[in-house]
Order: sequence, then structure tokens, then C-alpha cells
Amino acid sequence: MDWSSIFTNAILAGISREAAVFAIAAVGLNIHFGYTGLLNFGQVGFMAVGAYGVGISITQYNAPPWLAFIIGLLAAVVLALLLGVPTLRLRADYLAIVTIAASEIIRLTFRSVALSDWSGGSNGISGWADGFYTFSPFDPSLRYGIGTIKVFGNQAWIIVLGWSLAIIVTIITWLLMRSPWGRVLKAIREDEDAVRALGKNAYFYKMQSLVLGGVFGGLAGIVLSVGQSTVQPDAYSPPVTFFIWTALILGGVGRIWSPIFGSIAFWMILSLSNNLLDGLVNVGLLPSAITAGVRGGAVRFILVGLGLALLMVFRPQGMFGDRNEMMLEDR
Amino acid sequence: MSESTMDTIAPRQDVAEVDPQPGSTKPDPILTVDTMVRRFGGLVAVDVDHLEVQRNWITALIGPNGAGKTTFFNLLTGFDKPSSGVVEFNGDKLPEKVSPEKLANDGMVRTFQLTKSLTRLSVIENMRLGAQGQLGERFLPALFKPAWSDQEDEITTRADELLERFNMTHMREEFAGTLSGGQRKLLEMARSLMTHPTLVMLDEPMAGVNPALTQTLLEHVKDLRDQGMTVIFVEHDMDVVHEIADWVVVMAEGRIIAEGTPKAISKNKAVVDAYLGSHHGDDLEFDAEGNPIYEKHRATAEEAEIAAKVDAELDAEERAKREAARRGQAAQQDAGNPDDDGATA
Repeated sequence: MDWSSIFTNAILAGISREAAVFAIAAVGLNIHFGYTGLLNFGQVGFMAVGAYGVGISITQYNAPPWLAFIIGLLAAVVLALLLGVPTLRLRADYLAIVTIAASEIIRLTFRSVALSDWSGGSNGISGWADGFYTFSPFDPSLRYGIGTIKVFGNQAWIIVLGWSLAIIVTIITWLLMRSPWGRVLKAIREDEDAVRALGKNAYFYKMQSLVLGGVFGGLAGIVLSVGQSTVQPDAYSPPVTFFIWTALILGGVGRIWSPIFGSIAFWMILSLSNNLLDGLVNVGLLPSAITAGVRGGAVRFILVGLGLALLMVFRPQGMFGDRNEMMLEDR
Repeated sequence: MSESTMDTIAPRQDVAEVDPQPGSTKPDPILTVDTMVRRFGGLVAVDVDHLEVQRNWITALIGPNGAGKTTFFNLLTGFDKPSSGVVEFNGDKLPEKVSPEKLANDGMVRTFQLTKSLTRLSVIENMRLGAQGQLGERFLPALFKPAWSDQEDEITTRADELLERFNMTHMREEFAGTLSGGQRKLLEMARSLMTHPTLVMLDEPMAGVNPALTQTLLEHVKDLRDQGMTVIFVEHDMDVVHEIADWVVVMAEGRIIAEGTPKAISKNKAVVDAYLGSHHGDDLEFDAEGNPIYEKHRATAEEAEIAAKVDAELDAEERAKREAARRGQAAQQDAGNPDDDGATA
């Protein structure tokens, strides 16, 4: 078995732009769920409107990249307000239902034939992201990296950009969560009525939280679509939301650094399990039927799922969580 | 608690000056409720014609289960909207739709029957949350610690003083979720004081608290009055009511049926009827078909008042006569029962 390539691939997966995108989106989800207790099952919807906001404003309206970027984020704000206004006065479950439905509605709308002149139907829109690469200090024809871990210039640019943004949003979250503002959010997570009785407008704070986390989701979508140089509707399907949830829970809900490390861990585990299976088949320890064709992906996710189930049993608080704190919930 | 403040607080001799009638006027009401009705479908849960709550008194709100006390509490504190009604707080008429947060900003704070400690926040963070007008609770200033750190220090100092007063300093850094039930009650009360309230509304502050801690809590409630606050509390334990309440308001079936001092209220016929049923001690009456008549007569507030007066005037002879009649009837019933017959004979 080629251990060095297995680990090289795992590290590449851990620092990949997808991992950075998941980290940014998970920071948003962490603000929603980890700090405010909002059940958002449609984070991918925020990513989609961010990505389409940028793509459409460039292809249809010739917007410069910086303006397109702002429009993408504003689209996420609008979505957060649309979802929040009717549901945030209700119990937490309603937001969950509405967000998961909304994310599918968004995907199917952008995908629809009727709008294909505008959003490109199921093919999406591509070839609009060049403007974002003009700032790149990397030469697209060269490979950058350490030792055997090397990526091409454009990819390196997105990785640097993505992780810088991931760290920036994490620091913003840290600044907010140590403040009295963050304290109100955490208090809302524990008991909304108590917060209202103490003179805070819980609805307003929940809305702020939904918008902020949604904007981070939109940012993640923009990074993903710029990295792929295309915005394609099926890249924003519901499983993405749940992978982001997985990354967040892996890291530990309600912790500052858990989205980043949870996301890295999630992608490394996926890559490791994949390459290990392949390697074991190659040396004849496993029957080749396991990885043949589409089944390979399925078995990989079975293993990852099993691993997560074990994590929930033995370390429910994730990598960074505090088990004692977590157990308080049940009282 | 400085002595000077103690001096300025008049003892509650003015209790005697207030007419012990449901809906009576008070010399200086902090809260006035008029024709407040709350319907849940066909059920009228609260129907209060008029209530005034005297400033700087401890007013107890009592009543049997289902009397509408908690609903009334929720209506007053903005957690529920009345079907109709007018509330005046501190002389200002409140808008029809008023939110709990607005009321808390104005100085009306409440606690809950099921204690709402913020489990995964430390005790001191629970306390800090109570402070009003925090700059750091606004989104943009929150990002810059220098903008709010001074205010935070002041708040922390005040929170620590309160924790000291409530003997909870040793729990300062613990998660509120690790506290015992009684400590949570203490924390909730202390936290509510962080809002600088003028009117404190306590929903069953003593429920589920061990007797030793009850005494402590009672002292704290009395302290609130001594510091110039007004307290309204819902309670089931009559001993508690007797010990700390200046004035008692009794609710039954959504209405206020009596008001008065704790002493007077326990002798009030309407109150006793509300708790035990209006026919306790009376013989059952039967209609033509031989079915018992239960709801022949329900005392209204006025009738109850009259009844109370009449009761007081009932002389011992009258009572003895009734007693004798009852005994005679009981004997008759016994005689009609063959099983008992053998035993008593």
C-alpha cells in the first residue's frame, strides 16, 4: 500500500477549498445552532443564493467582481430576512422545516428550464469567475506547496483566499461571542422567555443571528463557486447542508474553532477512508467488489457514518466540546 | 441597606386605611388594571373588573388551581395578550400590545413558576445578562471590546454585590445548570434585580424550595420592599402569604373575589368557599328527580362580601342551632341505614 500517497491525499483533502468552504459555512451554522439554538437545515440555500448572486450579477449585469461579491452577500441577507420574519416568532422547529424546504426551492428554481436564460438551468453558469483570479499572486501554470503536497496556482489562490476568510469569520465570531451581544444569543439558546423577561428583544437578536450566519453561508457559496469557476445548481443540494452539520458536530457545537477543525477532520476522514479502501483492495485484503463502480462511494460513507455514530456514543461533545456542559442540557 | 432608606419607608399602617373590597382604590397604585378579559375559545380564563396594586407593598395573589393567576400574571407582564383590557403602570397607560422586553425596560420584571435559569451560562453571566441598556449588546459596538468593557466592569461589580447578598458568591463561575432547585430560584430573583426594577412579579417563588431556603427567600422578598420596590407574588402556601404579604388578592374562576389583609382574608367566606366549594358544611339538596343540586348559588364578589359580614355577625347560638339540626339529620340518616343500625345500637 502506498502510505505516502494516502496521507498526501488526506492532507490535500484537509486543506482543500471544499474544506475551507465547509469551514466558513459551518461558522455560520455554529452561530445559528451552536450559539443561538436556531435549527437551520438549509445552510446550502444561503450558499446557493450567494453563489448565484455573484454569478448572475456578473454574467447578466456585467457587475465588477467586488460589486458582485457584495450582491452575493446581500442576497444571503435577503434570504435570511425572508425566512426569519415569519418563523422566528414561532418555535424552533418551524425554522428547521422552512429552511430545509427553502434550500430545495432555491435549487430547483435556479435549475428550472423557465429561468435558464438567466440562471443557466441545470448546467448553471460558468466562465464568469476570471475577475476573481486577477488579484491572484500565484502563477496558474506553476505548482505551489511543500514536498509532495502541491497544487496549481489558481487552486492555491482559492485555498489561501478560502482559509483566510475562514479565519476572518472565525475571529469575527470570537469577537462577538465574548461580548454582551454574544451573551444574549447564548441566553436565547437556553431560554428565550427568560431573555425577554430581562428586557431583551429576543426576536431581533435571533434575526441578527440568522442574518449573520446566513451571510457566512453566502460567503462560503461564493468561495465554492469562484473556486469551481462555475455555479451549478446540483452543487447546492441538501446533503451539503448535512455534511456541514457533520463537520460542525465533529468539531464540537458552540465552540469557536470547531468549524475549522471539524471541517478539516471531515474531509481528511473521507479521503482516508476512500484511499484506505482502495489500498486494501489493491493489496488483496478486501474483495474488489467493495470499491467497484459506484459502490466505492457508498461503502466509504457507510464507514464514515459508522465512525460518526461511534463518536456520538463515546465523544458526543466533538473535538472541542465540554462534555459536562453538554450533559447539562438534559436537566 | 443603609439606615436612611429604612427610615424613609413607612411601615404599612396604611393597610388599615384601604377598604378590603375587591377592586378597592389604593392611595398610591403602581399598577391599575381595568376590565381585563382573556378568553381561550369559550373559556374565560381571566375577567378582572378593576384592580389596583399599591406601591411599595407586597401583594400576594392567591387562589385555587385554575383560578387564572398565572394567566393574569402573563397578561400583566406581556407574555400573553388580553382579549380586552387597560393597564396603567406607573401612571402611564400601556399600549394594547406590549412586549415583555418593553415592560422590563420600564421596570416591571418577573420570574417564572418553572425556574428559567440559563443552564449553560455561568452564574455570573446569568447575572450580567439582567443589566439594561448595555452598549455591548448592540451588534457593531460588540465587536470592539473597549467600547463596552467599562460598562461591563460596572455591571460585574453590581452583579457580584447581588451574589454576595444572596450568598451565591461561591457559585459564581459554575454553570447555572449545576445549581439546585432552590439556588436557581435565588439566582432568578437576583438576576431580575439586575434590571433595576420598580415592580417585581414573582410567580410561585417558593414552589419546590426546601423550608430552610424558604426562610431565606422570604427575607429577600421583604428586603425588596424595604428597598422601595413593589412586589406581587403568586403563592399557594398560606403560611408564606401570612408571613410577608401586606395585602392579599384572591382569584377564583378568573375573577377577583376578595381583597384584604392576610388575617382578614382567611376568614373571608367567599375565599373559603372558593377553596372548599360553596356548599361545604351544607346538606345536599335534591331536585324533583332526586338528583343533587350542586350549582344552585354561586357567590359573586358583592354577595360574598355581604356573606362575610353576615357570617361575622352570626352568633354562637345560631351556629349551635345549625349544628344541632345537622346532628339530628345525621342521626336520622343513620337510623335509615340497616348496617349501621346494628353497630350503633
